[in-house]
Amino acid sequence: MCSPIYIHAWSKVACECGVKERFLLEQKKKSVLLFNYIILLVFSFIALFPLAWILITALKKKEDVFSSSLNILSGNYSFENFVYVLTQNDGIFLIWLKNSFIIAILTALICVSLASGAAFAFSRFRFPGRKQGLYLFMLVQMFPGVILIIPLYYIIRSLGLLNSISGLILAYCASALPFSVIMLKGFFDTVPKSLEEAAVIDGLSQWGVFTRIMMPLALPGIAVTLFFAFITAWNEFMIAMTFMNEESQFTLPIGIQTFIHEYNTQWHLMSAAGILITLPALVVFIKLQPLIISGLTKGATKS
Amino acid sequence: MSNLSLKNLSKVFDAKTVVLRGINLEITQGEFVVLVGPSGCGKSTLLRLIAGLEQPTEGEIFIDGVSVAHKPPVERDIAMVFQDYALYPHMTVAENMTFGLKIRKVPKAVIAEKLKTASKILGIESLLDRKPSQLSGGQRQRVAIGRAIVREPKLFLFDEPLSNLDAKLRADMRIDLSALHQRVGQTSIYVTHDQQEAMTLADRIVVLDKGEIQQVGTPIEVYNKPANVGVATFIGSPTMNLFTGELLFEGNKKTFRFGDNALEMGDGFDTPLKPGSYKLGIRAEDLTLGIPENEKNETSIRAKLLVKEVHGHEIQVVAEVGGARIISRVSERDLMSRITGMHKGSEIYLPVHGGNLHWFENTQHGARI
Repeated sequence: MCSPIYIHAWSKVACECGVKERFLLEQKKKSVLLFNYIILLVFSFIALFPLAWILITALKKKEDVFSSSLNILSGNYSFENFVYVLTQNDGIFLIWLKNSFIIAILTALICVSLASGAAFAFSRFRFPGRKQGLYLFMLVQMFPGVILIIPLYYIIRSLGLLNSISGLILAYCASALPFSVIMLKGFFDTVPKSLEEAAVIDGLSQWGVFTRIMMPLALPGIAVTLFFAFITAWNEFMIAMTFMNEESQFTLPIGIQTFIHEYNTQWHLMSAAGILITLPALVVFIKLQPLIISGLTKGATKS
Repeated sequence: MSNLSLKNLSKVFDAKTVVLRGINLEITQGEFVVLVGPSGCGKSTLLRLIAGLEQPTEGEIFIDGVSVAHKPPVERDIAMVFQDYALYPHMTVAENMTFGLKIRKVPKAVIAEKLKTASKILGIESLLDRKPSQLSGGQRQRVAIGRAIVREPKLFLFDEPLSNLDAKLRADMRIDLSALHQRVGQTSIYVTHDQQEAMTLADRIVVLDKGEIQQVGTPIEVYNKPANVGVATFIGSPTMNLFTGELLFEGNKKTFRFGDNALEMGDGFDTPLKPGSYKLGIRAEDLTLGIPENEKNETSIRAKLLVKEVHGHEIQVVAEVGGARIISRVSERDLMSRITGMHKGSEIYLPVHGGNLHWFENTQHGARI
C-alpha cells in the first residue's frame, strides 16, 4: 500500500512533468503563431504597399512626386490635389463619378435580377438544354474580355446605343451575367429541396417560393453577386474607352486617363483621382458586407 | 366514409423505373395508417403522390371523394412533416408555424388563437420567438409538427419524421405523436422503415415491397398472420426464423424435414393439409429453451449455441441449425440463468410452440398457406 508521502512525491513528479510538457507545447504554439504573423505581414505589405504609395503620391505636391527620398515623414502633404481633381474643368470629375455610379448601380441591379431568375431555373428545374446552357455560361467566361469588344461594339452600334449610358449598362450586364448566374446557382443549390416542398404544401406558388423562400436564403449570394457586378462596371476601362467619345459621358476609369498627356503624366492628380475612385466601391462593400455571411440556412434541416 | 382513396395508382420514373404499381387503398376518417417497408419499396413516393409533390403515371387519388391526382398540393388541403424538418431558417418558430395560414389569408386573430393552441399542445410556447437554428433536434421536429397541426388539414402526412432523432427522443416522440393523434383525431399517413414504429403507432399497417402492397391490416393481424415470407421477415424483431423443407405424412405422423433435421409435428401443431415442399416460419418467442427433463424430444430443434444477446428483460439466443441462423427469446428467469452459464458451441434444444407456426409456399413470393 502506498503511503501518503509516496503518493505526494509521485504526484509532484507527475505534476512537474505535466508542467514542463505544457510549457514546451505553449512555446511551440507561440512560435507557430509568430511564424504565421510574419508570413501574413509580408503578404499584407505586398498587397497594401501600392495603395499606400498612391495615397502618399496623392498627398504630395507635383514637384515632390519624383523625390528619391524614402522618408515619408519628410514631405509636404496637403489635400490640394483632391480639391483640384474635384473642381477642375467645372467639376467634370463629379459628372464622371455620377455616370460611373449610375452605370455600376444599374448594372448590378439588372444583372442580379436577371441572374437570380436564371440561376433559380438552372438550380431547380430540369429542362432540355439545361446542361448545355450552363457549359455555355462557363465557356463565355473563358474568353478574354477584349475579344468580346468587337462583337459587342457591332451590337451596341446597331441598337444605336453608342456613346450612351444605357449602351454601356447593356454591355456590362452581358459580360457580368454568366459568372453571376453560375455563382447564384451555387447558392440556390445549397437550399434544401424539402424547404421548397414545404413552402409549396404551405400554399406558395413557384414565384412565391422564389421570392419568399429562395431569395431571402440566398441573400449572401445576392450580396456577393451585387458587389461583383458593381465592381465589374465600376472598374471597367476597355469597353468604356471604345464606346464613349464625349467627355460628359465618360466614366471614372476613362476620365482618369485625361491626366496623361503626350509629354507628361500628372501622377499626383492621377493618384488623387485613384483614391477618390476607390472610396465609393469601399462604401458599397462595407454596406453589403453584413449580408455576405454564411450559414443563413442553418437550422432548416437536420444537416 | 373513406377520407382517402387510392385507385390503381402507378408511378414510373424516366419511362422505365417502375416505383409503384397498382396501388389500391381506402383510408377512413381519423385513421392512423403507417406505410412501412424496406428502403426503395416506394413508400415515400406514395406519400409524395398523395401530397402532390409527384404526379402519378396512372391511377386516381380521391380526398373526401374529390379527385386530386392532378391538382397542386395547395388545393389538396394536406399538411406534411418532413424527415429533415424543413423549417424556414429565416423565420421564427411562430412565423414558421403560421406561414401557411398567412398565405391562405386567415384573419390575424384566428391565426393567433390557432398558434396558441398548437404551441400549447406541443409544449413549445416558450420557443415561439426563436429561430430554428436556436433549437434542438427534438424541438425542431415539434415545430415541424406544429406547422402541420395549426393548419387543421384534411390529411396529415409524415415522412419518416423521427428518423433523425436519437433512440430515446424517438421513443418519447412516438408516444407524443400517438397522444397527439388521439387528441386531434385527424386522418394521418405515416411513412417509416422502422417496423417497431409502425407497430406501435398504427391503427392499420400497409406493408410495401418492390412497389406493391404486400399486406394491409392491424399491427396484430400483420404480426400474427403475415401474408407472405417478405412481410413475415420484415415485421417483428428479431426476424422470424424460416426453414425450407419437406412436410412428410407417414400414417398419423407428420414430420417436417429441413437439412439434417426432422421436426415432428406434435398434437396441436398447425400444419398444412397436404404433404409437400414448404417454408416454415417460427417467431423467436415461439422457440424457447425447454425445461430440462423434456427439452430433448422430437418436437424440439437441435442447434448449436452461437451468441447470447442479453437485453436485461430477456436473452436472445442466436444458434445454428444446418448452417442457418435461428433466434430464440428466453425471458423466464431460471432459463435465463441457465443460458448464461452455457458457452459458444454448446448443444441446445429449442422446443417449438406448435400453435403459432407460419406455413408459406416454397416459391419466391412465398404466400401464406
